[in-house]
Amino acid sequence: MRTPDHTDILVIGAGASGVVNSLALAEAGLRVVCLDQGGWTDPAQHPHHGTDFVHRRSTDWSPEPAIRQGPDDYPVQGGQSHALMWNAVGGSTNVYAALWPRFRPSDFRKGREHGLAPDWPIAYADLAPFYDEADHLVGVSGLAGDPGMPPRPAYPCPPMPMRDSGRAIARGFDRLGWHWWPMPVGTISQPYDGRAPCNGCGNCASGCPRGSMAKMSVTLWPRALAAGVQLRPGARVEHIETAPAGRDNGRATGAVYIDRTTGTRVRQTADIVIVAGNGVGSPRLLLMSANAQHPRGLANANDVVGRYLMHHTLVAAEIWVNDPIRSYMGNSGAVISSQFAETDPARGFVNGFNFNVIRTGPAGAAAIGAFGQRPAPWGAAHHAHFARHFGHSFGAYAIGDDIPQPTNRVTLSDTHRDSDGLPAAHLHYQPHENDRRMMRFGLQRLRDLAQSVDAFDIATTDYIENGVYRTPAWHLLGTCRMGADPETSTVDKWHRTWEVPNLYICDASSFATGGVVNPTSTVTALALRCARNIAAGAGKAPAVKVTARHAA
Amino acid sequence: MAEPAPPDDQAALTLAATLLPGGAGFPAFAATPAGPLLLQRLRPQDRPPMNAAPAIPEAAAEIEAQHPAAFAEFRKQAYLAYYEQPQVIAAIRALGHPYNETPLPDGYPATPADIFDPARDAPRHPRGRWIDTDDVQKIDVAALNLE
Repeated sequence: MRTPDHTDILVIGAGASGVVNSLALAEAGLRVVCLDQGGWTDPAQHPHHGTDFVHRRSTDWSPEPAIRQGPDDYPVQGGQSHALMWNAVGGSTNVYAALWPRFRPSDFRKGREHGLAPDWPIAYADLAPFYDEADHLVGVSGLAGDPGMPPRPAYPCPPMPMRDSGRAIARGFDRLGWHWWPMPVGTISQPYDGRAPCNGCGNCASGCPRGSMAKMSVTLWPRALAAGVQLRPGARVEHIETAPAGRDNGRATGAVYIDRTTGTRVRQTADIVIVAGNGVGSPRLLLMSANAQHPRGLANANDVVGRYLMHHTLVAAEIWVNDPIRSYMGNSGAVISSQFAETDPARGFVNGFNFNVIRTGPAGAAAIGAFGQRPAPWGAAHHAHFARHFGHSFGAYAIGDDIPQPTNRVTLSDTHRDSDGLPAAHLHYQPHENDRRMMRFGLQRLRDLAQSVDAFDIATTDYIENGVYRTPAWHLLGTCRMGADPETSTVDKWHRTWEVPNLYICDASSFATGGVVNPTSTVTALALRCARNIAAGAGKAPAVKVTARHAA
Repeated sequence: MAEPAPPDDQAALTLAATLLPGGAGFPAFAATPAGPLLLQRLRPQDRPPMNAAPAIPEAAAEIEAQHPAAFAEFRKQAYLAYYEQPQVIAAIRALGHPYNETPLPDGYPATPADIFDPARDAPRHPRGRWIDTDDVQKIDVAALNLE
């Protein structure tokens, strides 16, 4: 086994959290090695330059590894989630839409509010300065002054072009008397940090090879490499190692990975290990790292690792209006509404949801009904239907805060393995009764929205396939959750695992609750906060005794 | 002279032609080069079993009723192959859409009328509220009967 030089920090996963942690720690003067099982996603590989760009979204460019089955992927089993991710340098920022709203202050106190979810051990105010800093690091476009959110400084870039589509949507919310605001996006509306602004190509659904959107492999990774980070693509981590019992306080000593170009195993030792493998990959790695001292997996004496998986509740509608709003043009993010974001028990459920209103995209996607999951009719009626509908629609998601349940979880597959023989991930996810009520309510409000814009057609979807709610699960949250109680959480408020004092978990798996927003803005803010704390000398404190009292 | 398509392929092309017969300014599937592309992309499970080439809508409807999953995937592939064709993109443009056949390199740069103009586009409503972290109040969930 090869053993490279010891390093100060070992980061596992080169996605949004991995690059921000790596960059911040390297710029603080620490030696950083970052491993990722995937390689570089060359901008030229994106589908944007080919006429088959819609087709590729359901084949080699599908965000769902179960469909894509790329060489860098690992299998994700289970019939209840379309788990979406991208395993490569930059992680899922290679294929996301970079919607960039923040958590709400109340999201951090759902334990106090209703007790069906825990409190975070931090408050919005703890995270706000890191949100602000991350916005500048990433390049975020938006409009300050939203009365539905706490005051904040101006965004680094002004809002994206409204276009006719955004204005038509806003008029609908105004007619209803509902809150709306220009969608904050991790895409630049003007030249920024040497990057070209968005040219409105309308294919955000397949990422952004231009780097106008925050595709971390072309935005932050070059800066991280310049700061001295040693990035090793094609390095699939097999397990994290810890010191033998009774020695060195049970600290992590590093990780063993498979160099996928040579097939050899490499032991990388480090003072501190940060796991940033997403809400499926991080618990999978902790569970794969079981050893004599940690028979349930690392940091899992309380049997919390992998549990409390959240995806957000999701229902959606494609809404067609008479005006030719040319919804194939422009950045996908148009308008956000937090009209129903706060809990109102009079609705029959707790928590809330946002509307993410987006532009619906190109001709092929319109024909197959990609957004509303209703294809255009076939036969003689097809062409007139297409001519009437194309370029006239917008899409609205109602994205809500689902209840974290211990039975919704990531485990290791007993039957499937990746190409290196490591266990596949298995997901189990079923919405709580509260979630189902919220989704039904959300569908009704989507119909209200359609009515308010005098829609001539609407297609709604609740993502139920053969009786099973199978959400398109971009958001992989909560599986190594942060908390104040070692019995019920995996990491403390600084992302440090309770049991292994120099092991950190920092990605959306750290979320205690999911909020009502896309998670990447919060992931980057948490990553900056985590890195700053480590750079300030954390990671030296002793472990906390954790028992299995909580085991569900 | 091109070889005739095998019977299964011929049936698939006939079904695609029935799904997309042309009209409203759009060409028929069969009048475009989409056929070979469709055949290249179809996986075995995307081909609904067909006893005969479904040249009439009633026959296609029967296949849809008998094999809905395979039919749905076939339809998706037929639509995607069709909407990639230059003749179809020309028909879309003829409707008044300045539609690009590929997203890049050109994109759809914003015109002055598209740009976010604070005077015109900034929300003027006072709507929206948020609750500070320390101000979150306890809610009685017992009445919701969620368990």
